Amino acid sequence: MNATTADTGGARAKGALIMDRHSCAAKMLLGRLGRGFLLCVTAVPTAAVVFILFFIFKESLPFFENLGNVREFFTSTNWAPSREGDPHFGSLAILYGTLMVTVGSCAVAVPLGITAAICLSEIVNARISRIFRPIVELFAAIPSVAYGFFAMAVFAPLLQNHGGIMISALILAAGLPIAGVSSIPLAEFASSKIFKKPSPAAVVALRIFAGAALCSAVAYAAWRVSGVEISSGTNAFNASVILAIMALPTIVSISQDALSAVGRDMREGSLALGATRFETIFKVILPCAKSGIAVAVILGFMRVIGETMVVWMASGNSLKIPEPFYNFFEPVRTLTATIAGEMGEADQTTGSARYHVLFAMSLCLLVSGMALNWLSQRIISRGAFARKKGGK
Amino acid sequence: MKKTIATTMTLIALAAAAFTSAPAMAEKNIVIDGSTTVGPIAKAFADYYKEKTGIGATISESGSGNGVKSLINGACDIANMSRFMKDSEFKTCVKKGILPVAHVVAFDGLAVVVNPANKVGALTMAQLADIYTGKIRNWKELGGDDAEIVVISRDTNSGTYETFNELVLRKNPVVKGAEYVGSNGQAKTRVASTKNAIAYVGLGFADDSVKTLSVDGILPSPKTIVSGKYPIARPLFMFTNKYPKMGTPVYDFVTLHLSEEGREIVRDLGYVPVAE
Amino acid sequence: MKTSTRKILDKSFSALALSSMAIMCAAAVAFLAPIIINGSGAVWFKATVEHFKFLREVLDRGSARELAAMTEKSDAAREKLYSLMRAYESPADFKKISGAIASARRAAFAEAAKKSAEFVKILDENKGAASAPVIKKFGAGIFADYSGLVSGAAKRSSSPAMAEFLAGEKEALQDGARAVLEDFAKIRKLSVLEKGRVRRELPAAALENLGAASEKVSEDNAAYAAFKEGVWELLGPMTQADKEAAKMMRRKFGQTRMDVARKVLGESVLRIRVNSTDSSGRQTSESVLVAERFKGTPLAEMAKCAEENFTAMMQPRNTFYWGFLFDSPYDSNIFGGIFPMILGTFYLTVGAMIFAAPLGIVAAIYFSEYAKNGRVVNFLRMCVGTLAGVPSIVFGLFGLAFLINTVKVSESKSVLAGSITLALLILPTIIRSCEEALKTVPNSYREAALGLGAGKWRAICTVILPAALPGMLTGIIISMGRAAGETAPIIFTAATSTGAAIALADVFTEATPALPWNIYNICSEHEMADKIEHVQYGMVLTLIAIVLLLNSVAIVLRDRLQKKLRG
Repeated sequence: MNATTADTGGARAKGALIMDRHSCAAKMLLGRLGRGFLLCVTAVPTAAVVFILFFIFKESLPFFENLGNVREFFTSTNWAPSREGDPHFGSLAILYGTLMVTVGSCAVAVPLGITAAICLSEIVNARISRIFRPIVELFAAIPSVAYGFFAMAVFAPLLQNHGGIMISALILAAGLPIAGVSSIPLAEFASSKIFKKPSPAAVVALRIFAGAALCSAVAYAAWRVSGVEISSGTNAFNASVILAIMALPTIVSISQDALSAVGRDMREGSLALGATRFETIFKVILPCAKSGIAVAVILGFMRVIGETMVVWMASGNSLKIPEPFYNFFEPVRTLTATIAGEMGEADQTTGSARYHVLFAMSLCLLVSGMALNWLSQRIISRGAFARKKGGK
Repeated sequence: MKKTIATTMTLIALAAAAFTSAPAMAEKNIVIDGSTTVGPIAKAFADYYKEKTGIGATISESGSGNGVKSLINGACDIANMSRFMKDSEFKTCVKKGILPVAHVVAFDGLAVVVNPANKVGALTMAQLADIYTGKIRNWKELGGDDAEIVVISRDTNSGTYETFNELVLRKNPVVKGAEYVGSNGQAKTRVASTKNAIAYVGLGFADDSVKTLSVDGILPSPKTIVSGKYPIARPLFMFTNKYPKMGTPVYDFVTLHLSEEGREIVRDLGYVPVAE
Repeated sequence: MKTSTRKILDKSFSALALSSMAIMCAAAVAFLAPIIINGSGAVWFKATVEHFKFLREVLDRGSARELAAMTEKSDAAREKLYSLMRAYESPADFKKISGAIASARRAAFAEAAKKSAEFVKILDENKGAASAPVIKKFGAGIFADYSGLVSGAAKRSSSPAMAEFLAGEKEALQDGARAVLEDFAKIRKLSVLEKGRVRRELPAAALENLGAASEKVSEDNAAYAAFKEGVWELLGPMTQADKEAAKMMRRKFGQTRMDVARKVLGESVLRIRVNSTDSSGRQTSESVLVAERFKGTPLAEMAKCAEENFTAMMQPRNTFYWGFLFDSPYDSNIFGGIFPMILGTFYLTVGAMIFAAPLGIVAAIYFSEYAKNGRVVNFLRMCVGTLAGVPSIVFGLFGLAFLINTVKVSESKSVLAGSITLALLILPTIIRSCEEALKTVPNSYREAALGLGAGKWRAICTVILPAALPGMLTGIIISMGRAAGETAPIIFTAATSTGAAIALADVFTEATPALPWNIYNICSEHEMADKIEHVQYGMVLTLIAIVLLLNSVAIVLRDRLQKKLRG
């Protein structure tokens, strides 16, 4: 239909160099029709969203009608939706699991992603950046079930057998350099506070002291972790790490866009004033790009919340809030995994309460997704990615 | 470039068409949905039936409840179930004009399995229930190593869970820290790779990679299951809408388990044929 | 801050940032390496003779002569094990032993008949129940030789034939006791109670001994049966008759891969599972090393033979099995390839593109060429964003409840329903990327086209779309990759776990196997998941390869486009 309209329009345009009033009107009508048609097609996603929303709302309504249910949903951890006669819908543990996995993966992905984006856009030259970009995109392309399979078949046994050693090595590898680097400004700051006019020797001594303190803190943490026995390899940590890898491409590429939207003149101005590249990045570029980076983080967040297969396969699906609550080495369960796992058996035809509670969970997911989306749109519409130039 | 793309597309489409040039089936496939426990039987039957008659079967393993759902919607011919229909399901069936008929295709015992490195070899029903309700949390209490028990359960939606919950836990809730896995195979794999884990799986899944425990002193085996000595056993069902008309593929399929061949397949898969 | 400090900070920050890239590269390697290494193992691996037998007999492929040569060699090696097993099942001196036992029994009963008078005297002396132990003692004396022979036999051989023979002996003993009653009755008439007592107690000692012997024999036999089962799993059926009787393919062939065969050898042949009863009468089951537990018995010899001849029996050789990509699976993926899953993924992906691409392109044209910033358009845009944020599992629910149960696009799960669901999922991505592509077309193109008197449609169709086409294709191809890899939306709408390929004509009505779902299915729901790891890895690798192939096509396309735009 689309093609026919186009063809007719084309033929008319070809044939009629001099148009009479009649054909002109016809053409306008055609143009209107065409536009209407385009609008209709464009409305398909909207219709889909409306249908999805309507449908999920309708199916979860019976659950929300009972206020006691709703309170239990958000406050209790007693999840037994199919027990006949005495069902319970406490989803606190599931909500908490979702939050935990999301926060955990963001804790890994956000620093890594933003530094990678800075590295790609500010530090390495364009050629290397062009080589690295596809590697980042590769992470985005790999299907979630492949990640899930990796988490279950490769990562979980590894974590279970050598988890403590692995993680402590990771802490040492990441922590020692960071500790070493951050001891420098710390010592500088401390010396300027303590002494009026710090002697170089005092600064060096402070620096060594701060470095040693930080490094030993890291080493202590690593030592503590190395003793941890991970009883089950499918846990919140596993899911978080894998989800972080999945969220990385989103965060890196959008942050990079935001960073490169900062104009050359700002950079050059800052460098010309004698700032080092590090200071330029932290004091000029990052503040300018912060809303764009916020969008990147939000979108990464969204990707993580909605992911199903990885958490289903890697999180262990336990119904408990870990003890203590920050223990990432215990299995947790998320909303998406609950839906995927339980919908197969919920009696849709008999319309049991369990079916509706699963839809209520979908609604939670959908609402949080929409809220995040709205937030990111708000930030974008305020000009997060508009070219930023210095000199107002 | 447009041309190249178009040509490639056409070539791909042609290749696909060529690969699938298998003659269109004269007889329609049998559509089967339902339990993951009955899945292996249905798949093996389908392979055998296809070889014998040329009629294939489409099998989805989406869980017992989903099987009923499909049967009610008319989306499948046979619903595999590892439990009997619930009252509510049965009533809905009847309301929608479906008359479910149960065919018991095999018996299955739920084997309680642990990692081969585990020292514990036998449990009583009470101990098992205590483990799963969280009263016993350490293998030490059962004479094993001093290590926390990693409790693995099937998803609360599975027929296997419901059987276990009814027969062992007497409908008490499973301990909150339990890990839930989506299938028998996954449960077994988790136990095989996790030193302190315990799980329950269908007898057909308990192979040499895990260690089967005896319950109340009895190990699950075809003999002990049929005689009723082994306490955690259940029948496996295929449900059809009404009794299938004799001579139809569906009839052949749901009566396959009665033939010598069908019984042998059931046995080879590690389940117990009916009337053993 | 001092300049030197600032410089150090600058340098170390650069190093930190670079190391973040290094971490990502390391993650990529750590992720891809095991999958590529293990996945390629599905195609290139050390195959055993059973693999070639399977190819020859089921798929009619491979050279028959070569196979015959291999089979001959492996059969020669297997014969060593099989002859041991046969010798165990029917030992050569079995006839002699059984004959000796039977004649000893007859002799014992003859002796009992001879001693009838003595026996009846015992009965007269001990009245009632008190007579029972005395009778038993009398019996024990008579059957002393017999019992000795039975115990000796049980120690020497515990073949299935021996088990059967001992079971027969039990009946013979009872029959013999009944017969000997008549001899006693010749001396004096026995009461019913006495008769029963004699029948029970006379052979009691012999029966006890026999019971112990046959328990030992049957225990050993259970171990042998487990061993034999393991050998079957490893090598396939022992005889042609067994092979023909076997119904499932996994019973017709042995292990086709050397790595799995080695695992089976270790888990089920060299170690076997034995059930035992502990002191408190509880059964336990444990896996024991045959060579240790059955030291000095024929079973240990067999295990040793199996271990020594293992390589010769399996005849391993490296092979490329391209059929993994082009064959149908047999016996739920234990044999054969994954072609139906690849085909299903292809159907779903192309189907999703057929729905999503035109819709996406048209919507993108509207957004970039027609739409002015207004409430309606903003709302439409927001909905596209929202759709992009809907979790994939929700799409699956929607597809099930709306497309299948409400609109009924098909009676049950079908490729059609799955395609539409996937199309909705990738629509936002397509719209966005097409819009981006349209935006990159310089405004001068539009102005030139319009300036030459072309209508808007004409300008779009003849100038703008062709210019934006490579960019659009890039976006569409990347979305295809996404559709190919999605699992959650097709669980409830299109995926089945059986492995039969469906014909093109059936896409509107039938469900299909598809790579993403079947990966999940066979690595979690398969009853032999740990024996077909290569298939799991192979499937994952294939899926990743398909997706990456699509993506690299897109990247190449994009690079070309960028060069064209620049040049």
